[in-house]
Amino acid sequence: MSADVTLPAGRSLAANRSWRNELMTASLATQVLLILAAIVTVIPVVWTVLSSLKSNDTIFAIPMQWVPDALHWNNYSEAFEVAPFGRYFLNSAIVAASVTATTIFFGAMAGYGFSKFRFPGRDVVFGLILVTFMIPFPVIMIPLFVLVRNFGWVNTYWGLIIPGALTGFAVFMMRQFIQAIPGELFDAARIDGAGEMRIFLTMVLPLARPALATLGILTFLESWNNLLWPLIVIQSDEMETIPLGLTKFSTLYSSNYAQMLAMAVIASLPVLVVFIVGRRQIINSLMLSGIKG
Amino acid sequence: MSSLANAVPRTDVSRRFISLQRRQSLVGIGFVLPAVAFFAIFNFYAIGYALYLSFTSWDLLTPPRWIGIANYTALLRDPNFLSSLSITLRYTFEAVVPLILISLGLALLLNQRVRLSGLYQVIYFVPVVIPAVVAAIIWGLLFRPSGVVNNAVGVVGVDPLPWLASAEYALHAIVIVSVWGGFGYATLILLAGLQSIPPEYGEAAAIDGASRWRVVRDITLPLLAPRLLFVTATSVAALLTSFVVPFVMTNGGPGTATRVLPLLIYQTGFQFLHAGQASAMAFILLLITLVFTALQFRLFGREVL
Repeated sequence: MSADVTLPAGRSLAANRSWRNELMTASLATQVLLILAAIVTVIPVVWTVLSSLKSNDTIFAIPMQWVPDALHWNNYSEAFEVAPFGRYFLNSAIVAASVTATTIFFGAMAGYGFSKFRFPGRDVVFGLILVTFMIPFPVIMIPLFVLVRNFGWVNTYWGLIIPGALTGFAVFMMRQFIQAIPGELFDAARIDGAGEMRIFLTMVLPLARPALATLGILTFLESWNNLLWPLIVIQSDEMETIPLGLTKFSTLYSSNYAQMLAMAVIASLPVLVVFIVGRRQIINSLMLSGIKG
Repeated sequence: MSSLANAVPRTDVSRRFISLQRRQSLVGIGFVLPAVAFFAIFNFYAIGYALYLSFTSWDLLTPPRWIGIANYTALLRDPNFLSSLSITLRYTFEAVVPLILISLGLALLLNQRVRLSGLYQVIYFVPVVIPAVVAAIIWGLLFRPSGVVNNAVGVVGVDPLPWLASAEYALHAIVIVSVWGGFGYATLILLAGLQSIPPEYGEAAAIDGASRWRVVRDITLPLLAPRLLFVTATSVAALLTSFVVPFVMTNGGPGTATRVLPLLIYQTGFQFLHAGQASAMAFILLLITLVFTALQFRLFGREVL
């Protein structure tokens, strides 16, 4: 297409725009596919919310009905009477909040130490922390249970919180972020006589706020949703977290569908709220996590 | 401000500097120490202990008894273990292929100029944040004989399927739940990769007469390779070790049709109290995840890294 070179500028721009349009603009088929995928994605959620308000015997009615004939809010209140879901909710909140706090605090401390100081063995130790990414939880769950049992933490908040109090990912993420903060800031404070802990608390943590927020959101979601570890370490009803309590409920009262779905909604509410509020941070962090090297 | 160099006699400057450096490295060690202690105990000691246990016979109560490699040799002839292993591999493969294809397709679609693109991204991500237990319970009801899924397949003229009652379909059901719960994550990572590719590449090729399909195949996909590799590796690792959906939705059944390896490890260790044997299984699982990760990087990742 050597003729293009001699074309007037306006013409070549128009041609360029039409290529761009063909490549970039979504066709009707694209819209239809995206909407279809969205519908398939939300149908289980919509069905759950609607069915949590049906009477139990209409949930599997034939033919199927989507909309409840009346709003049976009593499913919610009755579920709280059948099992201590309020307590489960409180347990989950305590554990998730604690795990989130320790993870961002110790993650930031280690991230600061690994990025702004030099000491012998630093890179080797950091490399070993990256290796922990590769350890699947089922591989270490038996030793973790034995450790927790030796510490006397079985069936306690300590047992639920401590083994999950930090992750290699947290250290990695905080190191990446703090590395980009100029170290001269901290040197200046040091010359002014600020103590090291004070520099960390009053300068590093505030400067790292965006990363702390993202890490906090991701950690909260993961902790709130965890089932396997509470299943192993908890042995009494009143210490159960909401995923564990809900799992037990679904086997003990396997035909209380409406109550089960009502509590499924309750269990999902905190994570959905956190997701809606923090969706920008979550999506941005995914954009970063895919970058290798 | 008293600068350090002026505050001390000149001859002491270098010594002072060295001691400052040493002080700073001690401070650095102080900052990483809590984390290092944590990982030493809860990851490295734990994995070493798991390795030791895999050479013992232990009921979690009386002292462990060293039996050498007997757990491993027994596992190689244990039909329960071998069937769980093959179920895990089948489930992983059956789920990862549609997961990646759907995510790639949606990411390519979203990378065009789409109205409400942000809304789609949020919607696709909802199943990722919903607790896996909730997903398993909801889908367990959706897969009932007269549930939503059979109503949906009825619309396209398929007779009701025995989703959770048949060995064959139960595994498909778990695959469907896993894809539903995971595609949003992969889609967003792939979309981020696509958005980092300058559109000029594709435009230039199109001006030279390349079809849209060729642009995708010869320009977009090779440039997307690092992200594709990343999502495939993380998805495979997650699927190989997934526990919640098989545990809550089918509890490994019907029979042992969906008893994936992590579920067998849990049952063997904590229900049958064969902690040594469970640890040996766990180590084989670890080996498999490492081999798969290494394999993917070898196959697709040479120019990626």
